Amino acid sequence: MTASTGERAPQAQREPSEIFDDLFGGVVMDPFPLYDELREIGDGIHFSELLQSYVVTRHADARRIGSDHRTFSSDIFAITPAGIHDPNDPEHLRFATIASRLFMLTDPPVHTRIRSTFRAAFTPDAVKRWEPTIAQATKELLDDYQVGQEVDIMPRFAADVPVAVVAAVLGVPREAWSKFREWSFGYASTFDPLVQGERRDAAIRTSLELFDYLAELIDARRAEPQEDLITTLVQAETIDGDRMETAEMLAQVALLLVAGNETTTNLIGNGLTLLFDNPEARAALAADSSLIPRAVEEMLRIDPPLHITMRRVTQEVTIGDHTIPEGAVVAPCIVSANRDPRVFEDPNAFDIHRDSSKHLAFYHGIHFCVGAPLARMEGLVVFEEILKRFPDIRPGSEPAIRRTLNAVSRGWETRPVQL
Amino acid sequence: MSNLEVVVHADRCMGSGGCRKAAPTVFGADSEGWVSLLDSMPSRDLLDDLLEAYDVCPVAAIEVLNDRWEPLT
Repeated sequence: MTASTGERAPQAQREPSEIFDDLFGGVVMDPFPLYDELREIGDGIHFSELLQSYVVTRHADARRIGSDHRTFSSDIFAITPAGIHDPNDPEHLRFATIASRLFMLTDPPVHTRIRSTFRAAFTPDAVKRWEPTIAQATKELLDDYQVGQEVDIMPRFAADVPVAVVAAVLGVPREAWSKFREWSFGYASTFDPLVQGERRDAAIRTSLELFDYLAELIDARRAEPQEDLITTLVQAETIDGDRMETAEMLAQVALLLVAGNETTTNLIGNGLTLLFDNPEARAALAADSSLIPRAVEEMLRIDPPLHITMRRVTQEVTIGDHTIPEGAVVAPCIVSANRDPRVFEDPNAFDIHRDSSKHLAFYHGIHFCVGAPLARMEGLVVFEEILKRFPDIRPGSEPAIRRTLNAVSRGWETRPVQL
Repeated sequence: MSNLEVVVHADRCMGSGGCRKAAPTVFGADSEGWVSLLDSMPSRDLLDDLLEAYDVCPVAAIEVLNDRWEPLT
C-alpha cells in the first residue's frame, strides 16, 4: 500500500485479511457485501488465519472442489468442532467413536457403503410418502398460534418444526418427543466451536443419551418392523451385500438430526425475512402456492443455512492463481458462490421467478445433501401452511437480530413476527 | 467424426432425474429410479445435451469423455 495522498478513496481495495476480521470478528450483521468484496479481489481465493483455511468464494471453484472428492477429502472429523473431546474420559471416547462415523465426514469406500443404504430413503418418491406426516407435524405446531399474535419464531416454531418432522419420520414415539428435542439440541451443540469445557462435557453426555436411545429404537425395529425411516434403514442392504451394524447406523441417524435441524430452522427464519423484505413476493406466494417450490430454491440460493463447508487437500493442487499444498484445508464459501455474478444475473436480488437451480446450498458432488428432498418438502409445506393461515404475517415490533458469532451458520438469533 | 464416451457412477445416483431430462436417449432409469446408461458412446451431436446433464447432476456422477478418454468437462 502506498501512502495516502489525503484524497478520499471510497473504492480503495481493502486487504482480504481486513475483510476477514470483519467477517469472522463477531460483529457484522450483514456479511453479504463482504463476500462480494472478497470474490472480486485477485482470484477470489484468500487464506484466513482465523479459519486456518483457504476460503474459496467463486462458484466455479467451489463447485470443482465438490466434484473432486479424491483431491478434496471430507475425512475431517478431527479438525471439526465436533471432534473436540477429552480422550482420557471413557464417555468422551465413546462419543467420539460413534460421532466420527458420520458419513458426511468420510471418503469412499466407507462413504459409498453408507450412502448406498441412505439414498434409498431420500429419493423424491420416498419423500413424497412422508408429505402427510410432515404436514401433520407442521399443522399441529401452528395450531398453537392465532392471527395477530406476536411471537419470536426462532426459538419456537422454526426450531420445533424440524425436530417434530425428523422424530415423526424416524418413528420416535410421541411420548419421547420433548426429550428427543432436548437431546437433539444437545448433540447439535457439539458442532459449535464456542461450546467448550463444562458445556462441552454436558453436550457430550446429552449426546450419549440420544445415541443410547436411538440404539434401542434400532434394535426394536429390527425385532418388529414399522412404517418408518429406521425400519427402512434397518432393512436396507449395503452395496457390500450386508446390512449396517447398530453403531454404524446410529451415527447416520444422529447425523440426520444435526444436519436436518438447525439448517431447516434457518431456512424458515431466512425465508420469512426475505418475504418481509420483498412484500410483493410474499403476496404472490400467498395468492398462488404453486410458486413456492421455486421460491424456496431462491431462498436457499440467496441466504443458504450453511455459508461455509470444508475439505482437506490430499495432494498439491492449483485453484485459481493459488497452489495449495497437501494437507491444507480449503473452505468453499457456499453463499458467496450462490451470489457470484458470473453465474447469476443481478445476484443480490431476491427473485422468486428466476432459475436458481445452480445454487450450491446443498453443495455438490458425492456429499450433496442426502436429505435435500426432505428439506425441500419441509420448506414447501411450512411456507404454504404459514401463508395460508397468516397471509399478512409481518415483522414484529422488536427488531430481528442476526447471529454474528457463527461463521458457518448465520441464521437469525431472533426473528419476531406478527402473525 | 468420432463418438463420445459417457461414464456414469450409478452408485452415486440420487435419482434427481436431471440427466434424463437433458439427454433422454443416453440416460434412463431402472425400475427403482436410479440412473442407467442407454448409450455409452453417443454421437458428438449430443455434446451440448451431455454437458447439460453433467452440469445438472448434483452428485457429479456423470463423466463426458472424448474417444481418447479425456474429460470434456
